[in-house]
Amino acid sequence: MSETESRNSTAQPEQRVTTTGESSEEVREEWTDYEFAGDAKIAAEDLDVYYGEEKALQSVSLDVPDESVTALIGPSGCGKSTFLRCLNRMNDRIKSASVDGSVTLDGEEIYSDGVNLVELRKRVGMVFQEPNPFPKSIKDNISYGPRKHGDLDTGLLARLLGRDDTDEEHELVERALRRAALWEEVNDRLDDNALGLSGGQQQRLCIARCLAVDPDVILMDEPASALDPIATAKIEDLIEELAEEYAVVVVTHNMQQAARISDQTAVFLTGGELVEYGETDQIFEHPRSQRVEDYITGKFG
Amino acid sequence: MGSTIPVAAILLLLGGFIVTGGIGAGWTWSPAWSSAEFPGSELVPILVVFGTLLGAWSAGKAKEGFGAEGRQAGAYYLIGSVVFAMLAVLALLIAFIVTNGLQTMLTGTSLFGGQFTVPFVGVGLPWPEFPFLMNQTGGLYVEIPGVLPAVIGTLWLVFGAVSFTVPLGIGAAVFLTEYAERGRFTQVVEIATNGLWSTPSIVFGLFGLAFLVPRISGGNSIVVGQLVLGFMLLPLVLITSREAILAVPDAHRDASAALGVTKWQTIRSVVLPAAMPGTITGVILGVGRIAGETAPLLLVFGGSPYPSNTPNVLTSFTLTAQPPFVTNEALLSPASALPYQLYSTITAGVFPKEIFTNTEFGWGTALVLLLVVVGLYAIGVGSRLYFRRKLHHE
Repeated sequence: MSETESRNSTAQPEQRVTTTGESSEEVREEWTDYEFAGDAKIAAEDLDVYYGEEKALQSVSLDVPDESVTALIGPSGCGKSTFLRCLNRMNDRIKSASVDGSVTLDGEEIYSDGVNLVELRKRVGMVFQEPNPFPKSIKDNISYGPRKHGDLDTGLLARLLGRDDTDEEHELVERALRRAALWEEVNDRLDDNALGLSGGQQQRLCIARCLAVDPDVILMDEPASALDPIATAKIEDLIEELAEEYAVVVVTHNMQQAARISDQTAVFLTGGELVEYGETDQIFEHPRSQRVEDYITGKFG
Repeated sequence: MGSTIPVAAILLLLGGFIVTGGIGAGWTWSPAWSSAEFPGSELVPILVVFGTLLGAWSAGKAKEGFGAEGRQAGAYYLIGSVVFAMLAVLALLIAFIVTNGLQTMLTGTSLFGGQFTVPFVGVGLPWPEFPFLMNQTGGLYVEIPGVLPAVIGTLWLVFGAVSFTVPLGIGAAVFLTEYAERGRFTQVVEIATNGLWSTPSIVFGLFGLAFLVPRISGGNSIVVGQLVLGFMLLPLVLITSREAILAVPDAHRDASAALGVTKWQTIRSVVLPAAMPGTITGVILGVGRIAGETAPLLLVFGGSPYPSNTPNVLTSFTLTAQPPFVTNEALLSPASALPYQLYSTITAGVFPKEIFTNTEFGWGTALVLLLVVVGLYAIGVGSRLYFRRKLHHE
């Protein structure tokens, strides 16, 4: 990261030349047309997003395959997080945001009127930039989702009737924590407050909390940007492992990270355009767009 | 440097005069331009207070070697002495009440003089005895009149007011912060609640007297007192729990929503627990205020100045066939509360028992009131600590 930044600053005079050339460059359809085997897990079609008057995404079409890592990269303000938040309709929570276009999950439209947001977000989990565990115990953080969805009943009445799911809860907590590679570190203090964990552990706890709901897709919004290198490495390993079962979509501003962990990469550039989408190796080694090449080699961004 | 030398000169002059006896308690200053006289017994303390403040300020300056450092130190000492002055006022107040009221409160007290009969067994055990706390105020056979009816009355008032105000206040706060759109409506509500909080309590009392009393009990009663005090408490609970809910980070709400949890479940399981310590702080402050409130109680609540029985709320519930189906005679009767007892005792002519004078009984009541309020505070602070510890890693 710092390497790119320093290169960026030395390339100041050149940058002006490329920016003028860049704005005239048209996005060609074949740059964003990425063919892969199997059906798309998520397919976005002509997605426009406005924040009030400002257009944050310009007619983005992108298909995400299952059981792989898709990285979204681009400079800040390019709309990559906005796109991510469209996939589980978290943009609905922002009052000024309006979304136009279509997103399908397993072929079903998620922007139609009858869609149950609770069901959608159970299937499409999300991990945020800042670790945000609830101020509850580690165990309660994990079982929060399943409890609220009625999959676990550990209430007083259930306990009195002998129908409580305490054992299931233990199993579920252990499974989720093992899956997020956190079990070994916390299994002796499951009842401690989650805020006592380190930043990296908190972030893995948030991933475990998301896995406990058993989603199909996991969205991650710069999951490692607030963490130190060691914690980042753990999160990256975890993401690659999760891709064996889930469709993982990761937003990152760290290009090395995208190159390391992702199977395919989508490059967004300023103005909310999707400029190029393809296999990660191809994007980083032979980008077809001049602007993407400039961005990746650090000439601007 | 420039400001410390004149100060030192003034202080030396002042100290010299006082020490040599130039001015003292017996000395009087009667300036020619006015007919007023300033006796030394008042003038000297005032001069000493100002002298101390000036001295602290310039001593601070001198200690840090003048200049910017010195000015900083001077300000620090000056502000520090203001804090000490405030603490001194508080200590003086408490010490005054304790010294005046302790004698009355401890009259007839003994650690093992009382007797406690174990239920079902019938064996008497030695038991502490606090006649002032455990006796009725009036009545024929009471040797040492006590404030038990007033203590119980105050506790019922606080309990009743809190138990209907807290759910209402928190509910309104949740609606205003989580559901209502920020705009004209929430602004109006905010202004209205602030206005309600600064409304004088006697106005609440008058409202209770004119509106609630004829409709509910037809005379002074506990339940109207609870309602009026509850109305006074409501804006504070609303304001503080609103602040507390707003202070819960949006990251928690986002995290919960991203797990597919509905808004109401998020509010119930994440937002409200996180806002709990702040809400409790508001309730503690409010309870401190209403427990000592006198003016509205004079209008809607108070009964006999020397009650001979304690309000028996728990066992007076009766079921009836007609609406309102449940009635409670005790709740609909007047009673006594500590501030009301204090007021009616010290304004009454003669105390019915010879053992205390009105003033002595008043001081004792004041001390008990202080203790009850401190006890309520302690409960509140304890529960706030409990919730804070549950929320944060401490």
